[in-house]
Amino acid sequence: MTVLLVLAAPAFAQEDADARLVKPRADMPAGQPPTDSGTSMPTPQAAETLGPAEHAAFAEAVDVSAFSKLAVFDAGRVKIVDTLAREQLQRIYGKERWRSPWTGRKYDPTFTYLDLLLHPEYYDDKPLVHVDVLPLRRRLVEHLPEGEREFWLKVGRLSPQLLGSPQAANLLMGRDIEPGLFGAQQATLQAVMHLDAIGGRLRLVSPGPGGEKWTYPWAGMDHDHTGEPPDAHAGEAEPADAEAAAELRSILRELGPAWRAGEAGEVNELLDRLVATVPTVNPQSYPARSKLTLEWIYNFTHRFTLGYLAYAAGTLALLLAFATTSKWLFRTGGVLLGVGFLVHTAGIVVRAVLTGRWPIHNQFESFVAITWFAVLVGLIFMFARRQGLFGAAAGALGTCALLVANMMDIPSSGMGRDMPILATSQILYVHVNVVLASYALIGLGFFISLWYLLVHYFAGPGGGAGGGGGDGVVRFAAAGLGQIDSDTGEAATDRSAMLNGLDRAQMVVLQLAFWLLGLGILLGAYWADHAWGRWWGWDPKETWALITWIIYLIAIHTRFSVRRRGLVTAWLSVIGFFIMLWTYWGVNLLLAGLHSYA
Amino acid sequence: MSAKYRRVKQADLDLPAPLRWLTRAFSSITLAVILLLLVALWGLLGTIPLRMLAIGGLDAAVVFAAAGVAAGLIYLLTRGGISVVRGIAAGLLLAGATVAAVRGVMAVHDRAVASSWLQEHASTVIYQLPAFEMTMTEYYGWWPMDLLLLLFVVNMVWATIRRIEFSFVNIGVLSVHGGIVLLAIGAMVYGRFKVEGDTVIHRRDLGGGFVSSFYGTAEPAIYLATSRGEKMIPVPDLPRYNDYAPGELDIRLHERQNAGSVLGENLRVTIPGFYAYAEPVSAWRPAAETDPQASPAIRLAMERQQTGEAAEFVLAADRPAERVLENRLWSIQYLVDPGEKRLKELLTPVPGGGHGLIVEVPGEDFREVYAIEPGQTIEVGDTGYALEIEDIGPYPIPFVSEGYQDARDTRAVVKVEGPGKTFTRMAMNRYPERSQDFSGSGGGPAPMMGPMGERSDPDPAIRLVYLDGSQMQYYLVGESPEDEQLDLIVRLGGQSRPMHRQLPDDGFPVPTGGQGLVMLRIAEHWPAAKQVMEPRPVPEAERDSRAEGQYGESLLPVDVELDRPADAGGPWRERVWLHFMRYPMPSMASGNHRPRTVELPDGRTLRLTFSRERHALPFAMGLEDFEMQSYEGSDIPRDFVATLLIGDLSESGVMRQMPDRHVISMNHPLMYEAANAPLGLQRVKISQVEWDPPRRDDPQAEAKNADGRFINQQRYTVVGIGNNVGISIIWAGGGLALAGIPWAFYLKPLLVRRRKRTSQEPPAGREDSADADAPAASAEPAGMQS
Repeated sequence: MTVLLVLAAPAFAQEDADARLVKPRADMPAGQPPTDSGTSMPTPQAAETLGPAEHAAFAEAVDVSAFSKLAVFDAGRVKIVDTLAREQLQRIYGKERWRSPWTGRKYDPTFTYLDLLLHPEYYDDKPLVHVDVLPLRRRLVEHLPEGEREFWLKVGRLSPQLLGSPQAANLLMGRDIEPGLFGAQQATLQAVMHLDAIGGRLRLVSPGPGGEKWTYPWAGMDHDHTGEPPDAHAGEAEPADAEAAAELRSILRELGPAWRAGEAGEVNELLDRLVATVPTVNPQSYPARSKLTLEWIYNFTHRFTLGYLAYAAGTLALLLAFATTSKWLFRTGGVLLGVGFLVHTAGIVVRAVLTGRWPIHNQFESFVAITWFAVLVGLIFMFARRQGLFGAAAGALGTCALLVANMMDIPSSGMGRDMPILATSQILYVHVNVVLASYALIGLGFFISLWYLLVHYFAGPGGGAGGGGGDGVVRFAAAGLGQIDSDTGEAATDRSAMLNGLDRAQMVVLQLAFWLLGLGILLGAYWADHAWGRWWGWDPKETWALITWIIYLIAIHTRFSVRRRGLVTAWLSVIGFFIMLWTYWGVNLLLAGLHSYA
Repeated sequence: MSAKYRRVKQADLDLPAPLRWLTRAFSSITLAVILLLLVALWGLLGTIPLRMLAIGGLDAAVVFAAAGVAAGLIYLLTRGGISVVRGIAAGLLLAGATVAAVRGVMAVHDRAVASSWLQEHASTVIYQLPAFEMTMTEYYGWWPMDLLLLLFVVNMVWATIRRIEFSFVNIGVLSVHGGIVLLAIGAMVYGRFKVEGDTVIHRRDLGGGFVSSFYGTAEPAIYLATSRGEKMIPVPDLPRYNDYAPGELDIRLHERQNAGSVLGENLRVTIPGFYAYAEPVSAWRPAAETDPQASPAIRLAMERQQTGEAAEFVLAADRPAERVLENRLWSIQYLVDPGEKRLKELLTPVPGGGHGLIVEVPGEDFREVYAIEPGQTIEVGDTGYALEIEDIGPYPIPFVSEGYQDARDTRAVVKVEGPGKTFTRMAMNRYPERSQDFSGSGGGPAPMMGPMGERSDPDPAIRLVYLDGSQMQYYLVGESPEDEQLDLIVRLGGQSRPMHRQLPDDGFPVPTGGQGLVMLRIAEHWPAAKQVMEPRPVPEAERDSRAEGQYGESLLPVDVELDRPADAGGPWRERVWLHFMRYPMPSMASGNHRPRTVELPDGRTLRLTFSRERHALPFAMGLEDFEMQSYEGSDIPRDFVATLLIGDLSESGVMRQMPDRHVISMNHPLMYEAANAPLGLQRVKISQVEWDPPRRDDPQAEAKNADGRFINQQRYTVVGIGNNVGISIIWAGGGLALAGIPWAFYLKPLLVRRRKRTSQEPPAGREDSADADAPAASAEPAGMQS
């Protein structure tokens, strides 16, 4: 794929684009190739291109699962092809799985990666490079006819051909662009660069004896990957098994043509041979199968974020247990929460094993680790106090956390290099994590406070007078607090005692959160003094962290001056939680400031 | 209520009324909560742009209205004792009311979203409004905020003294409160003595000297320099974020800082306005006819009916370079009173079309018009002159002669052989008065010798006027500057004769390249106009938000006025537009960002620089070496390392000893302690903050010398200068507060519980609250109401 080359030669690109412009339409029926016979001449290449249905069938028939578990050296560490493919597609396409706008089918990342490598022409006119910022996208397609423009605006990704057009090249090379779009322009250029470099990254062959460098077995082959590959180890240590190296070369020679011809059977056979051969070229340096499998599991479970399922089920079971006071449900809930927690833990441990470092170095890792910490705190309280409600709160928090980690694209979810600014200082690192820990506890406290409000408003005074089901609620809440009379199965305590208990529970968590937040802010000030030369700069993030802290400061002090302090605290905890969310997410998204990386 | 507070309150009863209320108020927690909420509100207003604030507020109102219904319904349903029918009726009523409320708010919301004022202020924070014009630091350091914090501290101290038992168990809460007081004191000291800024130091091996001053981060200043010296005038009252047309401000620099010592008595320098984010454009504006720079001018409007395209051009008759509008096909000129002779020339037809040459030999009363082409020779009647056309075409460079700068013309190069003389005549088309003769062979040592020979004014014995036939020529001719009814002379070339008629009101057509005709008409006529620099505010969408409030993109008009007696010409005035310079040094000038020099009519010069306030340092720094360290195998910068030579200065500004060598890099600043430094500058932090970045437009930006060093990068460093007076008080306070919290939260309840177990009596200062886990429980478990 030579988008950059095209960018550098807009005049050439113009002819190219004029000759080969193939216009996909949004209203095209599924299964039809995206050609428009009316205005443009399909070139031979375009004519040979598979239709969406054939392409889907080919993807269906090709089995890349074994190939995706091969080791590959990339960005300073050994990973599996699956990871590399996911990361690269994330960078190029904005998501890990390419989706055909015509069939709606989502493709395996490894398949798309190989497809981009072996059959790049197919993507020339397909939505491939993500341009997230709408104004830039609009500018990049403004020269197109209206219907076509609508299509690209809707899919949110542009084709390599479109990005190679002179108009787009002008914009991307920095001429003729508003300063406000610089960031978006750089991001798009990055995506294009990743697309151009896609082949060179596939360093599949482990180092030869005495060598250190992994090599890219296609190196030196021509555009169609048909030519005789030069010795893959040129300038490197001799391969341990020359025969295997020769076998690898012959497989690679055949793979490209077979792939482009859509011969799924032959491709599968070649991939099988490839998978068997690659580890044998230099077996002494090839990574252990177990580690590769571990990474595959890590990817397959979406970095273990699927643990939210166990958390959610556990939380639900606990809630049901409170309602029914069924010991069986109670135990089930506890076990499920334990499972969720183990998966959560595994996500952290496996990441540590895979990256070879302590995994709280970037936003994704911090988010996962910190919510893990809050869940741990909740579980400890649950067992220490024999109060299920802590477990339910922890489970709810864990569900939300892993769900967010699963669904949303948190920066640095890939295992790359640290954010340079975070790597420079231990204090900054501690600051960020202490603040995040307090945020997580605020989240935990929020769920307990919700519990408090539930009891307060739904359990009628005196144990449920009136027909609103107050009895049930009292029993429900009592069960959460572990205060069920084992003989009668009824609440062993009254409403006000229970509210007292809940108040104490929320205070335990919020006090810790309050202290950690104060500590985190002060550490931040200490770091800012060193790094920026002023301890407090009223940066929006700073200001909002202070406002969050003030809310809890007020919560602690109003307890001395109001009658229903539990209720006031619970409400302040709810308000504080939303302010914390704003501080954590909103400020970064909507306000400019120095904290944009954290 | 603590036993202590009960005792104290009892004693309060003896106080007179206002004093009693005051002490009650400052003992209350309610006041603290209100003050804290106000601080939070201050922060909210200071961080969220107005548009987001308005829309967010309205959205919140919608949510509250909806939540109100939900709460109401829940209340009705859980209250009990209400019949189903009534419940449903009440629910419907509530729902209806809420829908109405939500729709009302949504309508306001929509109007707010569409409001142009809010659109304009999509990224404006409250302190940027014209009424404030503050930096963020100024906003948070403004007196209302200071007052809030002061009241809070007083409140906290007073409440602590009056309510909290000074006992062992309360060490936690006391240290938290004490710590916060300490922190507040530290912050006050810090704010009082804080300096923050930066300076630039050039490498000594490239000629850089020692630097003993720095520039405050956000403190604008104007530097005035005359032969009497330089004066820095700080202008803290200069706006930052909003535009003020000239006349809306009146900042008199000459009345400040003893500026007279540099300016003298009769020179006034004022700032009449300010543009926060603008670019300079030049525009023609009406002027006094006596103004030497004024010229009669017309504004031509060009409209293409089919496409609606429009363009405007101004032609100024007295400015040779400005009186012409031309393209490949045609040329349009605006002439005022060109004289009978010139008019006649312009109306002279060329036989056969093409280029023409009018030849006049006044002595012989000879006049003839020839169609010419290069290489042609002409016998000029029987005057004895013979001409050879050597070349026809554009004069290769714009004129540089006084008054004709930047004008372009075409010419015929004619070799003239006449009675007893031979020379080459350069005959001009548009500006025949600029025609010249060249004699000799060229290249010689004579002073007027150019490549074509010795230059001289045209020989009056023979007059040659070149008429360019390569373009269609349109002339708009006025009899006087005031003449609004212009004549139109058109020379289309070819077989058609020149046309002369009155210019129609609806204009005249000119051809366009292959796309038919376009109409040109005179949109405006000024008897006298001149070109002035005007600011064009950059639209919000095109702004780089990082530059806002930083002056980097601002335009500052400065009026320089000289009082002169009437016999010396009367008062004199000039307006200059200044661009901001980060450092007020001519060596750091780039593009428009440079000092402006005003030539005063009395012969003096005044140099004006718009930059930042300079502060003296008690030491001097030189840059011995400056290097970028990159990530291995790449040019991506990892760190910048500056080797500084630093030596203390004496009172008279002389270095007292050999400077010491210090190395600083990113995140590794130097704390420098200078001897005999004034308060606040005893300990100065010097940090590596910036470097000279490669200039994108410089093709040599990445060039390296033989040692592998960049030639055009890392020539100078920018170091940050800061102090931290009182920072240790802040840390002590913060540390104390944080250490006290666990005591109050976790240790104290244990202590209280143990004491309770060992003693039957309730512990001192404690009411019979069952809540042992409550923080600082003995301070005040119950209400404030008394």
